[in-house]
Amino acid sequence: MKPENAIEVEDLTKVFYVAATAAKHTRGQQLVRNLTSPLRRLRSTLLGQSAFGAEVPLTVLDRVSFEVKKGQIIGVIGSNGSGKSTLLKILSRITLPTSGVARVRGKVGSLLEVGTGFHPDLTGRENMYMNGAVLGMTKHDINRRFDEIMAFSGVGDFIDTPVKRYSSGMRVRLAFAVSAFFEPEVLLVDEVLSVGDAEFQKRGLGKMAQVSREGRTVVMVSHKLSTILTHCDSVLWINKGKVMEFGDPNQVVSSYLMESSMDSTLSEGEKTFGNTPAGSEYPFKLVAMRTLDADGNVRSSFLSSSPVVVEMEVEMPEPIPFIQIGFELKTSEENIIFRTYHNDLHETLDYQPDTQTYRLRGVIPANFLNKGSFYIDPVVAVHRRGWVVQNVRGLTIHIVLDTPNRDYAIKQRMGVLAPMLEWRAENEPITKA
Amino acid sequence: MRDVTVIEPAKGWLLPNLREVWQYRHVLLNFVNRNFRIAYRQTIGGPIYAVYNPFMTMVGYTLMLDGLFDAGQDISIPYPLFAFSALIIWTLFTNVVQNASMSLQRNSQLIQKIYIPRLIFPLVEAAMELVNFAIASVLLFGMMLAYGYFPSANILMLPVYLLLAVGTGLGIALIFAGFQARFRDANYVVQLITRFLFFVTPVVWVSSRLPAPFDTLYAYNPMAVVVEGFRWSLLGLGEAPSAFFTAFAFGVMVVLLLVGGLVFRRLETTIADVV
Repeated sequence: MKPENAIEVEDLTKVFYVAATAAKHTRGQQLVRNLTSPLRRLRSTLLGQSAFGAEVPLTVLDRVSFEVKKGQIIGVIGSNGSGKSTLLKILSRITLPTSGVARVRGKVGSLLEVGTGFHPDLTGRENMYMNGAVLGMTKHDINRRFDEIMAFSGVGDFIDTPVKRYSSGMRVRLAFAVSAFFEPEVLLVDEVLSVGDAEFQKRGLGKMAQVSREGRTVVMVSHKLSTILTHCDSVLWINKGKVMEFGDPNQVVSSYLMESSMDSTLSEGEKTFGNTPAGSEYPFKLVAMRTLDADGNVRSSFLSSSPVVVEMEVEMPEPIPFIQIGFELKTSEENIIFRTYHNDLHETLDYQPDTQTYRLRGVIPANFLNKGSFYIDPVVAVHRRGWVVQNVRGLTIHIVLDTPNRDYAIKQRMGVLAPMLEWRAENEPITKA
Repeated sequence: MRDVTVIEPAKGWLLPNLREVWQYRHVLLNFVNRNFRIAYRQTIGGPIYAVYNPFMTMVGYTLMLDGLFDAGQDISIPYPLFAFSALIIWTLFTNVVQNASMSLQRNSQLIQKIYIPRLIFPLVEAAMELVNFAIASVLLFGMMLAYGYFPSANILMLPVYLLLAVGTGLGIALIFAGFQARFRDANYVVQLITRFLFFVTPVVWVSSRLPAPFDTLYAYNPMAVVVEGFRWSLLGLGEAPSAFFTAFAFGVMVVLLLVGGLVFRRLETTIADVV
């Protein structure tokens, strides 16, 4: 093993045996099979195959190889069932590979679940020690950090109350607090940060960044691409058990997005509103909002090099004079970047007595947003009269920084926006674009 | 390099890594501690339940065998003492077999989410039963004092019989634990074995009444050595089991532990995939 590496994975393969659809047998054959099946089960068990008689192999990981240097944070991405979790389970020794080898340097800790070993009848304090123990912390480790863990969890006086009387939020916070102070040399994390509120997630991620600054290695599985982009040094993309790409986060995430844009299953990018606004004096309903790519596909993740089309579907049985329909673009910290209305440049709403529904589209230009997550919240007002729709949560979009016209990739750039501006040399005439 | 963990496919038949288990001993203690807290939380009687079962069994057999059939006529000590002493060590053995063989299945949630040497789970059960045994022993001592019996120097041999009981039980359990995680019917086999052993072991009946050739044959059962040895060391009843039969019982225990260890290690490698 190379001295600078924390993890080396070589040709790692995992094959599961899953029950096959029953083969065709005559009644006589079937009877014999049924009678002998206990023997076959016993035999296959001792041979180290998994469960039952007639089985077909399913390759979950297929000759996966990669190396991770000490102190790096690695993100693992891929669609559901691609083998991400199996990879973590092998690295944490929960299950063994079918072939290949993985080497891990130092003490390994895994957080595949928040609150492993928690028991509802035990108090918060008792569970803290138990959870710590299964993670690999001694009583001494926990005692040493007890006050910090308590502060981090915010459980307060409930620490000596059975966990079954906790709210689910409290339970998660306590469980995560224990894990956050768990300090293995290699930490494997599976989507555990997706529980808990935004504030808590932020603290959790901050904790992980700190872990890596201290020279520890983190491998995390996440579906949140924005998380991966902000925190990881490298990204491993697995698809159907095979490594598709491994390396620079922006590079890998954009390839992943390109690939999955053809796969419409990934599209969130749409929200329907039941009865918005409720009890308004105006004959107006917001029906739905969508974010679309240039080809009109509904999606929520975009490359910064492509435009984001925001579509607002509204219902208006009769014309409302001076109505303004639009949206606000906000950062993930809820700061408004801009507000825009359908009639900013010219009126785009012609009253249509037949359909009474309208689809208005505003385009956020390409090469404008920086990487990260943004909110697109609907705002509807009647000029000088008041709000029709406001303070309503709309959509979330994720932007991956992509600078295709450059010889070298820009990893990140300061700021909320990353516009590509028209630049000219002094003596060059400014022509109209 | 020592600090590198190599993760490879399982090869052949190996014994469990005991050094690793030792490194995880604090987890074992935590589990024992936790299970005790859970077991008696929100109960009124608390640890009384550790002795409830052997005690009531003793009462039942005293009424039936001693009362109706006068089973106690050949023994020099009161029948309740005769039965209860054997029942608590028998309960230790049979609970180790039962609970340790169920331990992987019961902890399947944990097994799929975290790595701990899997051998910890049956060991936790064995440790728990030892504590339960200690609680029951307090009651036994009380009974002994009440009947006017005091242990002699024979009691120094007691750990030998304890070790035999736990070791034999664990050996059997290790063979079945892996199977139980896959096939829920393994437990029926385990129950059958313990039931059968109960009847061929002189727990509630008196071995001196056995006709030839059974009066020597029965002693090939390691649990007969355990029960009679335990009674002898504590109550001075009869004679100590012969060196030959004691050695034989140890041999059986070692074989069971080896076979159990091999089977357990073999099956634990795929356990997370199938529980």
